[in-house]
Amino acid sequence: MRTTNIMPIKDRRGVSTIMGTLIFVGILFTSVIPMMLVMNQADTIYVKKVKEVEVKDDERVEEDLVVYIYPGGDTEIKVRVKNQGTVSVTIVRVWINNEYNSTSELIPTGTQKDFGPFNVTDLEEGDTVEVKVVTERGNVFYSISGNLYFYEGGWSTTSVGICVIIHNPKGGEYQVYLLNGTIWSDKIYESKDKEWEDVIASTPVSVYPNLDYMVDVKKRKGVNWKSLPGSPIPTPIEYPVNGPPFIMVWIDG
Amino acid sequence: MGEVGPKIRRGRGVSPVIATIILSAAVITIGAAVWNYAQGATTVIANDYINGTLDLLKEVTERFAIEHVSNSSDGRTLKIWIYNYGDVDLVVDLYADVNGTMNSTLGTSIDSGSLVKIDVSFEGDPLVRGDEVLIKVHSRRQNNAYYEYYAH
Repeated sequence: MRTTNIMPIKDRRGVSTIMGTLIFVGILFTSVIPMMLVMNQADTIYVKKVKEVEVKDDERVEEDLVVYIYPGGDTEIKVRVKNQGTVSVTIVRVWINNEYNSTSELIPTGTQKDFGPFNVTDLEEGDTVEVKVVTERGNVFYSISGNLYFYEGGWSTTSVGICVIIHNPKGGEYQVYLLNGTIWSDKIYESKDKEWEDVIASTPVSVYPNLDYMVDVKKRKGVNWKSLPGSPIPTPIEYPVNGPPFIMVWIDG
Repeated sequence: MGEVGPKIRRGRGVSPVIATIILSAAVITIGAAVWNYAQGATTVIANDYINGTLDLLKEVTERFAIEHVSNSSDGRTLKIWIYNYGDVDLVVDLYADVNGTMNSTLGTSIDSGSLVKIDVSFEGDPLVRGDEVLIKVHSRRQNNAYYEYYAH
């Protein structure tokens, strides 16, 4: 009786299996793992960039500017921008109606900058001056003092009222009174504590013409309140007969 | 019984050494082909993934806003200023809807950090004072910005 030795067949199958395994491992190390590493790197770049943009978006939300415009002369206006936010802001454009002035002014937090004077000689009677500033992060801030109207050779705004802006570089506590001659007085603003920013106080007033309005701005000196030099300030509302509807008052604190 | 041996010997065909060589050659050839295919496939997959990720990144990081709108005094042109404050360049299509009538300007490129004015023509039906214009700026990466404007 003859028997067949099958051991050599087993040996041959082993060689192919080993080679196949080697090829599989080779593919794993030279193709699949590098591919996964590259993909992982792309993911890392993605996450990093998205985080950067999220930080920028947060900073954009943190931007807080106060913009107000005031006449710099009969045919000129000035724009004051105060950064009340927690991040520095770069102003890239100041829009005056449909024209813009490019700039690149950095305003650190807590500080202010003046822009202009901007010439508006092409204004005609009744024309409006609308001002807004644009930041590098894409925010647009409009003037809180509203639009200015060029009216009978002067400036006015649309609301009937009085707005007092106290330039306050040295800090202080203020009271603002609206007086009607000697008939009555009304306190329209009082500081709760010492202030280090410009103070803006607005109040609507009666539309009755020819009321003898005055604004008295007082600053705290020790325990007393003393009127600032130049105060009380006459602010007659003669709108619509012979004057603007909104009186802007600027005074140094 | 005596005839069994020679028959089996004839059935072997090739010697074990040659068989091993042939098998090994087949494994190496097929393996190399698979290896080569795998490398090509993984390269293509990796490139597609990277491109897809970068495209998604651009889509996510794209930032733009309608900064200012005005119209010409005769109402025949609507002027729109768009500010790209993001880090990537973009291409936008602009649509202006007035009382259901849509006017558009397509394919305007805006570089990163720049302001671009886009004019939309209302030649046939000029804007009149007080017309409400609904403006939509649509980027080719599917982001949108909207603005409501009243003609002056």
